[in-house]
Amino acid sequence: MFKGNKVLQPEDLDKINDIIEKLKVQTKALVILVVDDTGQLIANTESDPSIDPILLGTLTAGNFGATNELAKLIGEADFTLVLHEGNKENIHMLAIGECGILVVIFNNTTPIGLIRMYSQKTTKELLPILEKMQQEKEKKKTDLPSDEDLNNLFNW
Amino acid sequence: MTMINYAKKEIICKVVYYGPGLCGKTTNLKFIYDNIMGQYKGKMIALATESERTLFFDFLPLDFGKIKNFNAKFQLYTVPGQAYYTNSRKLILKGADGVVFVADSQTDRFEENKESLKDLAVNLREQGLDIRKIPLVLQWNKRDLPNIVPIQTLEETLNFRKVPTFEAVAAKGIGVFETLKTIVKMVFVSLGGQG
Ligand SMILES: Nc1nc2c(ncn2[C@@H]2O[C@H](COP(=O)(O)OP(=O)(O)OP(=O)(O)O)[C@@H](O)[C@H]2O)c(=O)[nH]1
Ligand SMILES: [Mg+2]
Repeated sequence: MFKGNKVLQPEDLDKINDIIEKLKVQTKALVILVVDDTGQLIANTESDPSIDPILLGTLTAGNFGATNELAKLIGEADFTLVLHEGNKENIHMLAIGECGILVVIFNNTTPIGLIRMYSQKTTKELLPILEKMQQEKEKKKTDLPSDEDLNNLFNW
Repeated sequence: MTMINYAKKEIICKVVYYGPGLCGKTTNLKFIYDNIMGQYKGKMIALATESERTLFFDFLPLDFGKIKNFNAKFQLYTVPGQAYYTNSRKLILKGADGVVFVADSQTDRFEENKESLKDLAVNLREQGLDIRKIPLVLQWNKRDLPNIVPIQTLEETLNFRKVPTFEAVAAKGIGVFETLKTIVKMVFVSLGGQG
């Protein structure tokens, strides 16, 4: 039995993908990612291949974590929102409860107010799905690699 | 906290390299990055100062491909070893599935190793993890240098759990892959439920 793991079922990933695709249409965002609180990428919209979603996920979670430490230092409980503004492109990160982060990368054709409004709505839709991921029980233990699989793998 | 993604058929595990400043954590990751088969590795990032000291973390994603029905992915992180970065270390330990503790074998670094191991225990606990239970490997690094602590002393002072240990010269790659293989195996075994 897996203990304390996160399990993402196909139907939940479909739901998450539908939600972020909808957000993409609403906001004309360039890329949208859902990252868990440890930096692991849960889902992302298709984007131009120069953007590496795994790295983006790790860096945003690190960035978000660091910002929250800052919040504590100045006596805020949390910053739920982190915004980086560039010349052309911007990154908007919003906490999904305590489970993850919704990352929206958008350019200046979209007003920030719109991103903020739709992001807030979206995190509310995502929260129950992410919470469910943490409660999901693992059943198919037999799918785990055996010793032999591992020895084969490490034939470097 | 492993992520098991049934939709993409992926298992994603996080391993953190921990240890005092300059003990060789980044050197381990760089050697892995430079020497592992191309199909296994993704892009490495190092958030470091001008002088190459780790400022926040290094990150190296590995993809071991299909094992049984799942794609096995490991994400390796290093923490910044310098004492005052303890908040960053805490953040990076979040959701760790396994830890490699890299000790600096040099005599004058002996105390720093002990302190770093204590710091690891405290920071793990703050993330709801237990140093007595989490998959753990110890690496005795810098065995090539002249003034080093005997292995037996390192074992007695640092290996309180009798976990696997490896002598290493990370700068030359000695012991690096042995360490990695062992922690990967231990993490997989712990997924099976005993851990
Ligand atoms: N002689 C010797 N030098 C080593 C060895 N491993 C690493 N070094 C050197 O030790 C120095 C520090 O190595 P890093 O890998 O940057 O150390 P770190 O643990 O990442 O340090 P922080 O990022 O500050 O925590 C570098 O100059 C390395 O080349 C080793 O096995 N032998
Ligand atoms: Mg380093």
